[in-house]
Amino acid sequence: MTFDKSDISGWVLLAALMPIIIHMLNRLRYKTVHWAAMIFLLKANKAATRRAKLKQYLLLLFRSLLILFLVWAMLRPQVGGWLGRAAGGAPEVVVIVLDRSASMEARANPDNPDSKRQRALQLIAEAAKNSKGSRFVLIENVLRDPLEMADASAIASLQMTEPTDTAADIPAMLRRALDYLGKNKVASAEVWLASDMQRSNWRDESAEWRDINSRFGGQDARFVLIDLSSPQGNNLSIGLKSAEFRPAKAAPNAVADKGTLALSIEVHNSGAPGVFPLRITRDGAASQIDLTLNSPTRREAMKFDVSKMPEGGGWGKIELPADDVLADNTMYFSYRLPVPLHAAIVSDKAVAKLFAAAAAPDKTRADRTAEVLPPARAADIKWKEAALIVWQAGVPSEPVAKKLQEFVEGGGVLLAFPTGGDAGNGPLGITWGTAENQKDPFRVTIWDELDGPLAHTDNGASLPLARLEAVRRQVPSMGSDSAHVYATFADGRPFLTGLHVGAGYVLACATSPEPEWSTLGDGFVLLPMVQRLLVMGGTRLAPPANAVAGEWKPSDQETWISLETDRRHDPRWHAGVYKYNGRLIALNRPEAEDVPDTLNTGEMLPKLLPNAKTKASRGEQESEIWPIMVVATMIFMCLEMMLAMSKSLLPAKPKPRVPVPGAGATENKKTEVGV
Amino acid sequence: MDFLDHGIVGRLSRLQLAVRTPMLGSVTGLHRSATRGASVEFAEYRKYAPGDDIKFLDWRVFARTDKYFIREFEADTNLRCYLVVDTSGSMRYTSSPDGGTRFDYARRLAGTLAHLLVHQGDAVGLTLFSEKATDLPARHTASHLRQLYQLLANAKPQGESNIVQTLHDFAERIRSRALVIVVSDLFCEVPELLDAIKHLRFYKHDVAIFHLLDRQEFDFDFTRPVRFVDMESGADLITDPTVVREAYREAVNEYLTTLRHGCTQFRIDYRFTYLDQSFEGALTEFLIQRIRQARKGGR
Repeated sequence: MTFDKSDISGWVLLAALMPIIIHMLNRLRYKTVHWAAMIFLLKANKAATRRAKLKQYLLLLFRSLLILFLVWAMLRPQVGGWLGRAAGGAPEVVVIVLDRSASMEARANPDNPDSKRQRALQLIAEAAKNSKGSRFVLIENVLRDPLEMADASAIASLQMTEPTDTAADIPAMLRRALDYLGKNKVASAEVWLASDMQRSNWRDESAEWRDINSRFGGQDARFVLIDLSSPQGNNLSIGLKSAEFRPAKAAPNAVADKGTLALSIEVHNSGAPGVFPLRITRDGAASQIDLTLNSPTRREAMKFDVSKMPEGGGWGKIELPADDVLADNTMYFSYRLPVPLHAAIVSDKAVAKLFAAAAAPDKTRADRTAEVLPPARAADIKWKEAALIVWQAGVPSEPVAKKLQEFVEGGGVLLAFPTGGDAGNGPLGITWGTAENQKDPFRVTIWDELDGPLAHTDNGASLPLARLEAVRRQVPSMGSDSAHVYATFADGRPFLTGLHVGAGYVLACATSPEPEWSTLGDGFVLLPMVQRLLVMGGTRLAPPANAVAGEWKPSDQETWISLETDRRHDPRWHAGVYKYNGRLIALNRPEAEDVPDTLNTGEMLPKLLPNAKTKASRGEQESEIWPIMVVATMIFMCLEMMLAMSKSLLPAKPKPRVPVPGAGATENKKTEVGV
Repeated sequence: MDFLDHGIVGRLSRLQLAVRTPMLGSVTGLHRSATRGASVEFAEYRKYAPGDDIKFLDWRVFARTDKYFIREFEADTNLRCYLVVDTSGSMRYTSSPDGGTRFDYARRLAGTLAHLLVHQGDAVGLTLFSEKATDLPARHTASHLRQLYQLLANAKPQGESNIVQTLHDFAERIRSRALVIVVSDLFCEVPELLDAIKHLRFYKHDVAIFHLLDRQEFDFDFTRPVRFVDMESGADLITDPTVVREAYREAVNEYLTTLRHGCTQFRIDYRFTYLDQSFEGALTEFLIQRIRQARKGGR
């Protein structure tokens, strides 16, 4: 049996004990009477105690049970089994919110080969049999479209409940469920959410929960969580960090069709350390290498020589040996010739040439070009070709600002540098602080080495940011809480900060490569940073070759065909390599699905949905049985009343005869006597 | 004496305290004697025996039957009455905060009866008992009455009651016929009490009992838990009266039924009296009923 409010069991017990406590207190509150007829009292105490005490105990029992059942009824108890089926009333609508993300393919428990998703479907089908009068609506995590079901007990056979390699957005799914209930004006409803409590799917820090909570509070909908979280077992998973084709040096102004394929993969191992074979299949050729895993996570950079780029691009996959969770053992990749990347430098300073050199260090290569424009000619930027815009100027004019906004939202990258002087505004909402000078240079102490423009190199070497010295800085602010700080100075002020805008990025650096500002111009940091941002911005110029399943959505007019035919693949939610019209794309599971980070149900529900009528369940679906509790309360009330009003528990004895005063033993009849 | 109401005594003086059985008094009095005497009331005929005084021969009977018969007449004698009053601790009880205790009632009863008895020429004695008994022999003088009043006035109810032993001792000590009036709450085992009464009856005493009970002692209508402290022994008992009330009333009822039955069996004049009952009324009824019973010849 579970309760809507399970943390007050102590108070329930106290309430049930109240009659006994009152009885004991009443016994203590006696008065003292000096009594003569003790001979009768002692006899009565012996004789009456057995019968009367039994009656007293029964009364106390009935009163305690009465209160206990009344409090139970108020706590909305829920039970499964025959009692739950017999007592539970079916709501008008049951919205099934199904998390079928990649992490739901882990085993529900070590002894059962069924996945968490399959277990969830079994529980839902079982519970649906007890709610025959209800209408069932399914909302799953990929399409999030409400789907009315004729027969919820056959939910496992629906295509919409098949396994996926996607992530789930639980708040978005719940919002859709509430939208559906609000739109259809449902009188009574239940929302059954089946999830493995993956933190990345729940996004428990999101502000959306406040809205969801208030909407649950305003609707007569009960929230039932089917908790499928389980301890992480021994599992190996593999994920793709990046796949990049680097063409070999070719003739001037040409892009070579041979070069190197650079893969960056990440392997997670939650079991014992060891050596594991990696099976690599690339363009139809298979090979195998051994990978030593001594830590839970290992990032590995791989390079493959590509003698000739296949037509339309190449693809492949890397597989780990089979374990309990098969879905996360394979990673797909695809690659193709890179598009030429163009950088626009907007600056009227001499350092502009340094930026141009960092963006296109080899002028003979056709795949990297750069042009320098003074701020007055910023409107002349080649907007369609540019992947990166380096901005070291004041506030752009309104038309240029509008163009910049479109550029970034379309996937381009804007990197801004300070110009010196007083505090003021920069492009796209960047605000510069007052310029600070210091003889003892500012030093960068912390930076993001895993992701972003300052991540370590393919062979694992860190960028030499610690050697960077800045004697002058102008700290930028992005004006948004969601800005990400890539590196900070020793005093905690940001060195490089960035903000995701649309499909692109806006970044601002606190110092300039000019010699009077810093040693950034030495190039050890500036060159890789600019090159990486150039590649990031290049995604706007060509469709991606690698994407995350579920996040990448093919248009309705395109028919993407899986290059693997061993199992059913749907580009909307399955990982794999797909081809359409000579174009390749490799889809993989979201990275966060491989991270074993789950929420605690007991702490999470009261925190996220304090206003909702919530219930967490780990087993079978349960029904409310408060009506039974109310009936039981009434029965105990009647029993208590009958017992309290009865003269005796046993068949009543004749009522004692009240003695007549003055009655003589020899004659009781009164006689008139004349005196 | 505070316990003597002269108004009541005056009104009751018109009545006499009669006995139901013939007495064996030392002087002439109001009561029927067990022996034949010289009163005007004819008793019976018996055959003449040598030595009889011939002045009692009935000549008319001799003339009709030619046989000698002696005419005998009833003798009138005085009465010895003993008042046996309980002075144990339980006699202090009263449920009324401003009312008199059981002992007050008993003292008024004994004092008034003593006054009536002395003024009708009978001797009256007094026995006060709790654990031990204090006796005052029976006399019929006014000075003796004052002594009796003084004894009653000085008595203080305390200690445990030993009524059974007191009555046994009394029966052994006073063997000549007498009227014995017991005034008590009779809180003891009924079979033992009846044994003691039987002992008194064995010596042909006319026994009357005033059984004094407070109405609360029968009703037992306490509502809250009470710590009952025994007025005689000081022992206490905490109980819920609502739980034991029924059994208590059953115990009282059984006790009274047994006591009544025993008193009827041994021809005891048993008077059940509530403390809130009119003292004068109770005593008047007692005296009238005794007069009626005496007229019927003690039946």
